[in-house]
Amino acid sequence: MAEQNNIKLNELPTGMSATVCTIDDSIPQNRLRELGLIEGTHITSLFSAFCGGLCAYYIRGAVIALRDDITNSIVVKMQNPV
Amino acid sequence: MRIKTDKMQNDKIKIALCGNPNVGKSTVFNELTGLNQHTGNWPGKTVSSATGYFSHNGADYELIDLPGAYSLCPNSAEEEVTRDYICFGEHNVVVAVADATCLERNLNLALQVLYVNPNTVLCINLMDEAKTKGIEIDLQKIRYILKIPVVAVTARSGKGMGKLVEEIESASLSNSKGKISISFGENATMLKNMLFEKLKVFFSEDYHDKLQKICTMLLQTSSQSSSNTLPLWLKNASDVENAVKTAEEVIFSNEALLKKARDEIIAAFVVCAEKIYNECVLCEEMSGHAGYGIKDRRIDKILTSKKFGIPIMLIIVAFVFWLTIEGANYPSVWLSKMFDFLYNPLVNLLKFLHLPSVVVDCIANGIYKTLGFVVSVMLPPMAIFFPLFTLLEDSGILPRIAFNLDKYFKVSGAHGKMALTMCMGVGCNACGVTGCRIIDSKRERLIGMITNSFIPCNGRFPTIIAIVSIFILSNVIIGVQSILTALILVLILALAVAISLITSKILSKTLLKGESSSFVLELPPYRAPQICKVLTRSLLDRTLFVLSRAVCVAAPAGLIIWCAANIYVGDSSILSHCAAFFEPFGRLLGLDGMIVMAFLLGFPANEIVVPIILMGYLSTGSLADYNGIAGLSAILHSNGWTLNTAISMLIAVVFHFPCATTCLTIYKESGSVKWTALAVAIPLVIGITLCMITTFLFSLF
Repeated sequence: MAEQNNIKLNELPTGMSATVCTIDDSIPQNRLRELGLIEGTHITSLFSAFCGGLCAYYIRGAVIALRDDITNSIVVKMQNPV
Repeated sequence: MRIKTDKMQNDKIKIALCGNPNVGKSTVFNELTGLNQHTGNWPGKTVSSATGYFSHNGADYELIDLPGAYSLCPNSAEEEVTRDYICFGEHNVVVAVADATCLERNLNLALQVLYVNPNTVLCINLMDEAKTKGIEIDLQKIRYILKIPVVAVTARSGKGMGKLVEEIESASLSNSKGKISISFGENATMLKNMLFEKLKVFFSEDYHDKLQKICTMLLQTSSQSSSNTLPLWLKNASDVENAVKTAEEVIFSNEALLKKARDEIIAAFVVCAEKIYNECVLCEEMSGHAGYGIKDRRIDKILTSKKFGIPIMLIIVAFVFWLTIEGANYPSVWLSKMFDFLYNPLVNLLKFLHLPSVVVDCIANGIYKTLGFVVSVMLPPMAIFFPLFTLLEDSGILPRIAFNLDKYFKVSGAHGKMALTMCMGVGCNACGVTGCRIIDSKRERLIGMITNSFIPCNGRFPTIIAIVSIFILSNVIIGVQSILTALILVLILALAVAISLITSKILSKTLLKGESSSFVLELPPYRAPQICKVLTRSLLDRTLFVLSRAVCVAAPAGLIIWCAANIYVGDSSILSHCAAFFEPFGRLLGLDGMIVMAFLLGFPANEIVVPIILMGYLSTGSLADYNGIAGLSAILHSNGWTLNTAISMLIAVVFHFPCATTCLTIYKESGSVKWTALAVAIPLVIGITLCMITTFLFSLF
C-alpha cells in the first residue's frame, strides 16, 4: 500500500500534501537542503505556473517555486490519498 | 579569546546582522542606525555592504548588515561574504534576524550561527504579521532552549527595538554563552571525529572544544573553495600549512562518505530547527500553512492565473514606463533650464579667472554642456523609475512576475529572474547589469549581464520616439499618433526581448555551456511597501550611484567631442574628417558617416547621439538641442534621411555596443575582460547584420 503512494513531486496534485522520501543525487541539492527540503520534510503543492514548468510549494513556512527538472527528481509519499 | 582583545583595541563594539533574504533585516538595520550609515561593496566582491553606527549608554556600536543567506554553507558570493564574516570576522555580537511568519526555516540559519558563534542574539522580526496570521511564539521557551537572548520586534514600526539594543548591549558585555546540543548522523560524526583526531595536534588543549565545531563546518567546504577557506578556518593552528594539508586529505579521501556526512549535517540543523519550532510555536490555523496567509493566497490566485497573470503584469510594467516617461519630461525641462541659466555665470567666472578663451569655450561648451545634457536627460527618469521599481520589489510582486515568465527563460537557458533585470534595464542598463546579482548562479548571471544591453534604456527611448514619429507616423493624425507610437515602442521592446532570449539560448549552448543550476525562487508574502523609506533609499543607492558613474564618463567625453568638433585640420573639423572616413561604412548600413561617428562619440551616454548628429549636420561647435520634432524633422530630411535611414537608425539605437557606464559595470560585476568584450561584440554584430539586411532589402525596391 505504502509503495503506491510514492510519486514524483511534480505529480503531486495542487493542494495536496506529501512527505519527501528521496532526493535524486543527479540534481544540485545544497540549495534545496538549506531551504529545509530534506528526507521527511512535509511539503504542499500550492499552485503551478500557468505556462507550466514551474510550481510553488509550501516548505517549512515559506513559499518556494521549483522547476520541473528538480521536482522530477524528488520522490514523495502522499499523505492523504483521495 | 580574540573577541576580548578586539574589544580592548577598538572603541566601537562590532555587531554583525545576518538573516535569510526577505526577513526585514535592512529595516532592522535602518531602524537601529537611522541615516547614519554608508553603503558600498565588500572588498574584492560584487556584493553590496552596509555599515551603520549608533550609540547607547555611552558606548559606540558599529553595525554590519550582512547579505541575506539561507545557510552558512555558501552557494553564492553573497552567502560566502556572510559565512566569512560570521565565522572569521572580528565582531563582538551576532544578531540573527528571523521572520516570525517563517520561523522554522529561519531558525535553521540562526542555529548554524549559534553553533559557530555562542555570542548570538536572536531577533524575531515581523511580529505584527505573525499575529495577524495567528502565529504565537513562546519566546521564553526558545530563550530557555538556546540560552541566548531572544527579542521580538516589529522593525517597521520600531516596536521592540529598544529591547533589542539593550540585549545587544548586555550580550556585548557579558560574553553570554549560548549553546545548542545537536547530534549529527553516524557518517558525519565519524568523519568529524576522524578529522578532529588528525587535527588536534596542531592546536592547544583549550582550543579543542572550538575545533570540534570547526571540524563540522570544515566538512561543508567544497573542493573548489577549500584552498581559500581551509587556511581561514585553521588560522589558529601551530602549523597552518600542514594542518590544511592534513584536513584536505581526510575530507576529500572518500567523496561518497563526504556527501553523506554533508547531508547529515544539514539535516541535523533542519531537524533541530523543526523540533524547536514544534515546541515553541503555536499556529491557530488547522492546515498548518500559517506562513502562507489567506491574503497571499487570494492575491497569488489572481496574479499567477492564466487569465489575469500576464495582463496585470503588462499593465503594471506599462504603467511604470508611462509614469517614468511622462513624469520625467517636466523635471527634465527644469534641469535643462537650470543648466542654461548657470551657463553665463560659469562663462563669466572662467573669464574672470583670466583663462584663455579656448579653454573657456572648451569647459563651457564642451564639458559643461555635455554634462548638463546627460544629467538633465538621465536623472529624472531614473529618479522616478527606480523608486517605482523598488516599490514593486518590496511588495513581493516582482518574484511573481519571474514565476509567471520563468518557462520562457528556462527554454533559453536563462533564469526567470532575468525578466526582472530586463525590466531594470529599461530604466538603465548599468542598473540592469548590477541587478543581475539577484540571479544566484554564475552562469545564468553572466547570460543576464551580457544580454541586458539589448533592452533599450531610458537614454535611448527619446531617440526612438522622435524617429518613429518623424519617419513612420508622420502622416497619422496627432491623437492616434501617440497610441501608435506606444504600440511601436512595445513592438520594438518585444523584438529586443526576443533577440536577447535567442542570444541567451545560443550562449547557453556554446560559450556558457552547462547544466542550468537548481532553480529556487522564493515567493515572499505580499507586504505593503514603506513608501517614504523606499524613496530615500532608492534615490540614494541606485540613482546617485548610476548618475555618478555617468557623470564620470560624460565629462571627459564632452572634452573629446568638443575637440573633435572644434579642432580643424585643413578646412574642416576632425569630426567631419572622421564622418567622411566612415561614410562608406555608414552607407552600407543605410546610415551615414556622421551617424556612425555619433554612435562612437555617444559611447559615454546614449542620450547624446542625436545631439552629436545635429552638431555635425549643422557644423556647430557644441551640442545642439533640437527645437521640437518639426525642427528635427527638417534637419534630418535635408541631410538625406529616408525611411531606410530611419529604420536602420532604430535598429542601431537598440543594437549597438553598451554605453561606457554599462561596460564599466559589466567589467566590475563579471571581473573579466572577456565577458565585457563579448557584451560589446554581440549586440554590435547583430546590429550591423540587421542594418545591412534592411538596407539590402530597401535596395531591391
